[in-house]
Amino acid sequence: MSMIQSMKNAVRSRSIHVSYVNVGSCNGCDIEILAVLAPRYDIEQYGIYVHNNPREADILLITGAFTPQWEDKLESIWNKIPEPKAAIAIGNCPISGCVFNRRGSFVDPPVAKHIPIAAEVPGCPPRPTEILNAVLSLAPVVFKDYEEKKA
Amino acid sequence: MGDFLYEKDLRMMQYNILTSARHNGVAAAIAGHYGLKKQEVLRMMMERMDMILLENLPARYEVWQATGDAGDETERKLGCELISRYVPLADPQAIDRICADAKERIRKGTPKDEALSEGLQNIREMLRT
Amino acid sequence: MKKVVDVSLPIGPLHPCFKEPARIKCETRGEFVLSAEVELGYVKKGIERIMRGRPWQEVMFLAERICGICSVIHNMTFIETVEQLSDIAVPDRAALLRVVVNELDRIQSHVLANFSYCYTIEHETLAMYLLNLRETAMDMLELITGARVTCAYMIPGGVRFDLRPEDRQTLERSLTHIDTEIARFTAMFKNGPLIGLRSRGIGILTREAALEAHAVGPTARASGIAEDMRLRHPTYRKLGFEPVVYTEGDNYARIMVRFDEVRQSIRLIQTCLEMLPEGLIRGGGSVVAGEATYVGEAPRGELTYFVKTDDYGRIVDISVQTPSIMNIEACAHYMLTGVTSAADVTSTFISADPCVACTER
Ligand code: SF4
Repeated sequence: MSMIQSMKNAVRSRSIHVSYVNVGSCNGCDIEILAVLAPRYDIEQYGIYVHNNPREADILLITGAFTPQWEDKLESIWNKIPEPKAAIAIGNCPISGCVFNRRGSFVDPPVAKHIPIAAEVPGCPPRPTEILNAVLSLAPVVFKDYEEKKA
Repeated sequence: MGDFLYEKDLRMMQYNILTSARHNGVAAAIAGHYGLKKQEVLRMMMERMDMILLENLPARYEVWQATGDAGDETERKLGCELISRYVPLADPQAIDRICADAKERIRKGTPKDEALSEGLQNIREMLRT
Repeated sequence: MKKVVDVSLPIGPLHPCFKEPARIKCETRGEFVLSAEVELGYVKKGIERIMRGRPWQEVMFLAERICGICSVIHNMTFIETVEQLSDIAVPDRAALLRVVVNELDRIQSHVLANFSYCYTIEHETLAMYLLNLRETAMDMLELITGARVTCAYMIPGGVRFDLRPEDRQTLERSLTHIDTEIARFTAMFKNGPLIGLRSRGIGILTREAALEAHAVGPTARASGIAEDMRLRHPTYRKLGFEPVVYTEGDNYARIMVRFDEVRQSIRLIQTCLEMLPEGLIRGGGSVVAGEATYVGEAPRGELTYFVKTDDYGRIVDISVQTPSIMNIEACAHYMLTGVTSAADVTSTFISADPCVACTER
């Protein structure tokens, strides 16, 4: 491993920026993501920062069952995120559409049809600890040795 | 309608809002009041209002039924505040003018029904333009 | 005519301050906001459409998922509508337990709303304190109902779980904790000079405008309208409930109403626990054909359910009017007009506690 790569690994492991986007959820999952910010779970002690700005994000958390308004917009948000990047689907909604995926509704799940999803956290809603755990275990897989793996 | 850079065409979504039972009732009531077709009223609403106002129409209509245009019978019959403030489809000043006109004519001795129907006719014309 | 508008300033749909997507379009002159519009459609799922033709056992869970923040009140109002149209009686103990859970939900929702406001005006310390306090309320919800967000605690004729004696003690202890902490945070909010500068006199909603847009809940009560649907609820009447009213109508008043209501909710729960009789928590009854309109008080204001059922307990027709519809409308068309800086647009919007998920359903 080159020296630059090991430096990058060290830096990246302690600075993960997270952004979240709601593509038609019931808010249940969003407030559980917010709860992760609370001092009880203290997401920042792991070097994860929630900015909610796609341009400086590394990880995109997606909640909700994909409504038609997002068709082009979600992809443009995804394109704005700089590499390396990963998307995590939070809750049943982006995975299967949860209770909303019935005849007559406007939703169009799963979100994996529209952008690549790296990990899924099922639950309606998942507990804050599960969300935290997903981010923590996905980050090294995606970001460690990113340049060498790509080459 | 011009092209949008970012926004999509919102008309389908606006129409979805208006299809619910309560909104449909409001549109039908307004159409009945002014002698318009319901489709016409729906089209006007979609063109002149933003989405949150569309969502709020039933509540606003209920408030008008309870308290709006309370002072004056002519105003109530013409629905002056209804069409200019509570369901803002028309310009308030123009509506005030039509309303004052109708009142003036009643005072001068024109039969009430005639003045009112003429007032409604005027409002209808104005809504259509 | 010469154009008077300098800039059309779009905010959203994705914005660091917003928990949910909404698009605010402000027409501004310099930074002074002349008028604002809100465009939605980002979370429209069509819940009312999928509810039609399904048995109440399914609709109950769909109703809860209209809004994740105030799921308990959606559950409660739907169930009470169904109870009303088919004449199902609720045992006393269950009725009081419903109030306990509902008020816990109100506490966590109000604390979350105040957290969002403090976060938006960049007072992160107070925001984090509040968010941590909210976890205590969430624990209590989980202790009683078994879930943090979507609890489905109430069912026609009663509630699903009893309050065990040992849980009751924990609940009482937590309530005292929340009470002392909230008193401290209210004082911090009241006396913070910078908070005052960013909140007092900003985003004013006059009483007339509030009446015209039919604003409800804390937003209306901060503008001097003493309207609270809990006044009409039989159980709350027994508890001697009085609404909290402020008259300023600015951001500061809206936040203070919520702080005061949290403490009021704590009192209500304590009274409930004192009055709690022994007995059953579930009665009987089955859902019959009929239709009813029922109004409940959600954390954000009045929540109306219109439900029509058939003989098999299926929902034939349903329509839901959520409080955020009225409040966001009042916010967009009255509060935001005349806001003097673009930075206050987001904080004013958040102070009305908008919940886009239930606005669009
Ligand atoms: S998974 Fe459940 S809690 Fe999460 S957004 Fe969907 S319905 Fe709401």
